[in-house]
Amino acid sequence: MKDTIHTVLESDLLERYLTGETSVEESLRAEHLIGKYPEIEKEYEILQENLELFIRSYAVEAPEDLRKEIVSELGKSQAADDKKPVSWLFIAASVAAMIFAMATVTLWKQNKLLSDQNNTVATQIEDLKKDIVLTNSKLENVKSKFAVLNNPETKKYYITGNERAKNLKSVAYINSKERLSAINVLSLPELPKEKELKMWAEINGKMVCLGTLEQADRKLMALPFNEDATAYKITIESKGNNNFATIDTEVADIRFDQE
Amino acid sequence: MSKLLERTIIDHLKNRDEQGMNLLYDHYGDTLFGVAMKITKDEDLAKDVLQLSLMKIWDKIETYNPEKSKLFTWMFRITRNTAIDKIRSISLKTDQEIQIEVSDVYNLGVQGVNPEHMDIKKHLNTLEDKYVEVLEALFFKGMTQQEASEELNIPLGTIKSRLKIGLRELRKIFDPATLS
Repeated sequence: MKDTIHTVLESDLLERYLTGETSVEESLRAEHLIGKYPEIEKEYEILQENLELFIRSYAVEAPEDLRKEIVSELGKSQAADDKKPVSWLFIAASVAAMIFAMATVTLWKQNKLLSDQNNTVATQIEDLKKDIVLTNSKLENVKSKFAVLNNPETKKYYITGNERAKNLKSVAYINSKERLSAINVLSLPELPKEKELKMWAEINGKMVCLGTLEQADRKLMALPFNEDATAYKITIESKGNNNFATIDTEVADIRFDQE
Repeated sequence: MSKLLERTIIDHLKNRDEQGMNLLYDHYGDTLFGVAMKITKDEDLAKDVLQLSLMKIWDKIETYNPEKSKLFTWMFRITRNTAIDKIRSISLKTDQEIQIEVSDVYNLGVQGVNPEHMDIKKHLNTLEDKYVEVLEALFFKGMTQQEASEELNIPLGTIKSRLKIGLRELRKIFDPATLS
């Protein structure tokens, strides 16, 4: 450390720093050394004091009117500063800041809108997927029905009501090989509210309920198939009766062995 | 100059208080005007330089760092550089005309020397000329050590040693014990 201090004091670094002759690197080094070593700091202090005394020896009385002029100039400068119009740079910065703020708000709104739209589209896509599944399901159903109708093994049975239900008209399709059966109800008679038309299959001498017959806008409805069935019957029953077919109320009958 | 006075002046200047400028003018005006006179060798130019320099000091006081230099050192550099810039901005012809008037203008300046500086001047006269010419070249003529070496026709090493010794001699000359 002593060597460093000695070397610095012996060099002309401080003198050149005092006269402003040092490079940026040298100035930084000088400032570092002055800040680090009290001996060097003291030497620099003395140099500055000596410089001041040396320069003061050349002092010349400054004109008093110049003082007034300078102080007056300060007043003008201060007033000008106070009244200084807003600089173009400030205006530009303000405008830029406003544009930035507006752009930020606009972009945020657009982002929110797009996000909402994205959610809507996602929901619609989900709905469409469900629709596709449903449509595919319906298509499969139609295809299966078409397969029934188009199959050469399928037999077609025209069903018309007797005197109890003259208005009953329907067509049944049965394919015993493919174990498929369907019915297309074309028209149904008007029935009291507590009555309904039931479809039955005769299996080994017993009547098994296949369901309630309803007009469905000419749609083909699948029927449960049973290979042991020898006949289908339609009867007028009280609502809720699925246990036995009432022979007295039979309105139509299809016997497979008739073919 | 006392550190308390320096601190007071700086505070006033930073507060944009004209009192700071009045204090500055009272305590440093003559010295800085002397620097301007010494460099420009013209009273009107020196007035311009002093006004410009004090306005720069007023405007740039926030950049002043007391840890790097004394207030005087900082103000001296501003005044010296302003004066050097001023004379460099004048054409060669004008410059030559000013040179013709040098002796008269300078004599006026000498007549205006503040009596309180006379003691310092008297003591400075005890400093050998060989040191004074180097110090003046470096402090008042804006020369680098290399330029002073060429101008004064003295080896660079000698310039360095005369600067160092000259400043050290000043310490002896301006020692309070000597001055009292």
